Amino acid sequence: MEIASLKIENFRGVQHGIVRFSPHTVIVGANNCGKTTVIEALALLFGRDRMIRSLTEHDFHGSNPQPADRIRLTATVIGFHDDDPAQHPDWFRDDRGIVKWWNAATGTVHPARNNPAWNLACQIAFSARFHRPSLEVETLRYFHDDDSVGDVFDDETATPLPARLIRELGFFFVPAARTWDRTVSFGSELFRRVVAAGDGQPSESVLAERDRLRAPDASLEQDERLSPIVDRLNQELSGFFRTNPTLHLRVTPTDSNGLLESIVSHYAHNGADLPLPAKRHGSGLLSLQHLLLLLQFGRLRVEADENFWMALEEPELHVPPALQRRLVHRIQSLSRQTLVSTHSPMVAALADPSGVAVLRNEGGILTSVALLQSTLPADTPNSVRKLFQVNRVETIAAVMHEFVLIPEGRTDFEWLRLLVRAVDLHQSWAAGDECRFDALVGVIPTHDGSVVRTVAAMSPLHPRVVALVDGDPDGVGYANALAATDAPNSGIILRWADGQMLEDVIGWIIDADGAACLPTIPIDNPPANVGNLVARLKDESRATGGLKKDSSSYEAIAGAIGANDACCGRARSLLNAVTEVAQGNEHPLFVADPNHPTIKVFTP
Amino acid sequence: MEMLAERLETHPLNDGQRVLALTFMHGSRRRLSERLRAVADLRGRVECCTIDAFAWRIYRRWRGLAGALAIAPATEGEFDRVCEAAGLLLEQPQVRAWVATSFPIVLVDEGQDLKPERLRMLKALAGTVHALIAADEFQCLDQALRPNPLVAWLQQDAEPESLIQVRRTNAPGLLAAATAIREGNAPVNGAGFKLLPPGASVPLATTLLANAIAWRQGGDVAVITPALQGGFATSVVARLAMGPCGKRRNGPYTVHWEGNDRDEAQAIIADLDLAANAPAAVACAALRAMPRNGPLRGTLSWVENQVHACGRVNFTRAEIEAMITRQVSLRRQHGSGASYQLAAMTVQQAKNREFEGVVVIWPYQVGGDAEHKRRLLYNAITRAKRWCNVIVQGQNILGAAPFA
Repeated sequence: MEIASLKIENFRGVQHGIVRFSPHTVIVGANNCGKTTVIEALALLFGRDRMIRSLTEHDFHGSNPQPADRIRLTATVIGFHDDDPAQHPDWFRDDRGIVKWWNAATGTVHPARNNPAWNLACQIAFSARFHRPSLEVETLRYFHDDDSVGDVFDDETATPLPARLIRELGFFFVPAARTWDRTVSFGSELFRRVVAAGDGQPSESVLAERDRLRAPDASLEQDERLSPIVDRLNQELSGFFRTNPTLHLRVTPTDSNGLLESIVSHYAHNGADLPLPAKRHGSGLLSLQHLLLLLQFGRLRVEADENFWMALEEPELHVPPALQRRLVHRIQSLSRQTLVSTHSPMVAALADPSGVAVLRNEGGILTSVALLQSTLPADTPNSVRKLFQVNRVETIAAVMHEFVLIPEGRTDFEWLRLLVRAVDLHQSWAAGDECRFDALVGVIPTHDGSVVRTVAAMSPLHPRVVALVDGDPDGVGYANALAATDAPNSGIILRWADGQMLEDVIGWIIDADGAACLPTIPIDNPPANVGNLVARLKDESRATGGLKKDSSSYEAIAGAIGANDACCGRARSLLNAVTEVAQGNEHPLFVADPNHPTIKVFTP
Repeated sequence: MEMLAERLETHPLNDGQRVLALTFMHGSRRRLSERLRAVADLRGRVECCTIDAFAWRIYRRWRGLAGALAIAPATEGEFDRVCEAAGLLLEQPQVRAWVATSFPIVLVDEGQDLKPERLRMLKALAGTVHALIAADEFQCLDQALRPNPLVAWLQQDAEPESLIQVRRTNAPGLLAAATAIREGNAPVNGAGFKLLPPGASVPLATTLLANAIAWRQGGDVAVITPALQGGFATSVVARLAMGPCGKRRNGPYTVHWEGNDRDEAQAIIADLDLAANAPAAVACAALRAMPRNGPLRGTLSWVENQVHACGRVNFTRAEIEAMITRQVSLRRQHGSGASYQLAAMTVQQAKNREFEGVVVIWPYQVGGDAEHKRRLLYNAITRAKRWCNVIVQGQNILGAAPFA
């Protein structure tokens, strides 16, 4: 079984939102865009009661729920055997769900199957309201019969979702806030379920251990040094109670529950004699321990042909990059469906690009777009497709920012990255030194000359796309083409000065203190002046001393810029100017073209 | 019941499956539910509801499909339209398969009372579920259903098993009278059945009734009348409560009129001190100031929910009155319903029930043709387990059907 889509209404930062899922979905998006909201919505719908955190007013959109306000979450579940309701009497019958049909092409649900390609679906909903007199949030999980169904807290009769089906779905959720100290206790529900899954066999061992602890071979109260105290205590007690109570010291409450609660996992590395408690190891081991236990559980379920869904926030936490890959692959191969939210472009890039969902939240309206949409026009050039394939780490990293900057070509991408690094390396705590570019702006590794197509491809993925073009005739042409179609969606196009390109801007930066900076650039044939350097940066021919696309020379130049206070200051002011303009603010370095006010021309 | 037990033996219910028992009225639903408790293999896995409630359930849950099929929308109270819509839905294979997954066996009692739109539901279901339908054409009191559509359908599509034996009683006089009426003959007095001398006036009829109750030798008694028009039966019952009657000074007896929701609701509403429009707090206070009973508690919790869950701030007296009325009838439908030793009711209300003794009060104003009158009398006297007395309002009634 598989969750095909989720509709969110009035939950946390999302007033309205629809997210579609693939079998292995990776959710990425800017901070605060609702990644956790989506995963927690699924936990409210499919998690067992113990996993559900109790809700408060803050879980309602706007944090001030009025009597008629509801949180409403609706999920569409597909993947039923043969798409035949008769094969799933637990899902489709009088006291269960209604037969629905899922149209994957449009992402819509229909009451009748008008097309044989549509899949059998069952819709499940969660509704919550804030009851003002008791200050409590009342919740209900039920089968969603139809969108025309009214409010389940008013007149409607809802068909509740039975706990048995929830168990059958096997939804597991590992939140980012891994309160390991608590959850890793083997008394946790997870461990109990692993114990129960193996046909109850391990439970016999637990009971045997319990019995051993009830009657230990050598009990503490019989210890020769302790027994005099215990004897006196017993004597005292007999003066108070007719039943002559005697004291016995046991290490657990002597029931199976107490035993499970007091188990502490220990690990021994390389066969060491004395294993250390897990807490004494690094957080990486703690983090993995829980996940791996979960995976064992998933494996048992899959082997028993049971469903296993897993939602995991930030698998990159505490796990080094090399292990992240292994972990994500293990999770995906064991689960029918996985849902991973991540801040790591690398983790996101592990997934099939059609499974990467980019979330965006515009004033409470949440939308999700698959990173590689099947709707990408057929004539999309390879240069643009590559952004979603070989270059997807960079692309994903860029869309996680508040603003996405699409420069005209690859060289601009490289230079901007180097400048950011040079400036950041020499950043002090002085407020004036602050460079916010990297925190707010993500740069797309545009392939040369495809800026217009790239803007078109990125616009559905991000609400604030900014273009950056050269001041040569080509660049002016791109800028005009974009402006003519009201692109990009931020309404902001940055253009270098007439006839200029980024290399000229590098020259401008070095000009801040050319005399001091130029000699510190460690390249062959040191340039005599800034003009010479700029000419060579534009020249691709190594025979004539050209430096274009020579990344080691680029690094050398950027290093020199960073080391020179004046140059570094100029670089910083440039990056901050780009950031300001992207945010919609005025900045003296970029002046609006009087003919095209959306085009801001670099005017140093 | 035996057929059901046999079916359960050969086709046991799976996990989550139940037997669906459909009746026409709430009164018979309760009785059927008690009967089914006795079926051994069932162990409570039975769902008894009226056919109208079942139709609403189908329509309510499949309203999305109903919309897609352009079925005209219906609301809960529009029973015939809801049944019509449910019938159309059940004609969809996925809907009836869905019903059959929960209810592989459907039991229908009093099938003769099914109007065409309800029969349509049953016909649609019959293909997918194992349907057990009980019907007695002669007990159908709706003249529009003659010839009876259900009986016609059964005779065409199934092989009905005829039960000739009346099982309720073994009083030979009662059995003989029932057989005579069915065959269009005059009923004659015998052990357990007695046509009393006509109770030409209300006091005389009251005395006859008081004596019948006084000499009943235990057990409950139902006063059953085919018609309330003219007020003869109600006058007699009212008079009986006033004091001892006749030479023997039997009485007084208080006989409870059944199913009188309107009176009960009106009695509650009379205590309601509320303006035509009132703020929520005032409405709640007015309800809280009244004597607490089931319908009032229900109404109060509805008002509170409207305030806290829907943000309502004002209520009209009319809607609160409507809610009290609804709560009163809900309680009658779903509550166990207080059972009275002495109860009065119409023949329609008495359907499918039984009492130790029955007194039939037959006024002049009984409508319908001879066949209809025979059915009314038959239905009334077959409610009796031990004895039945008939009091007619005038001598000339005895000269025509169903008494001649």
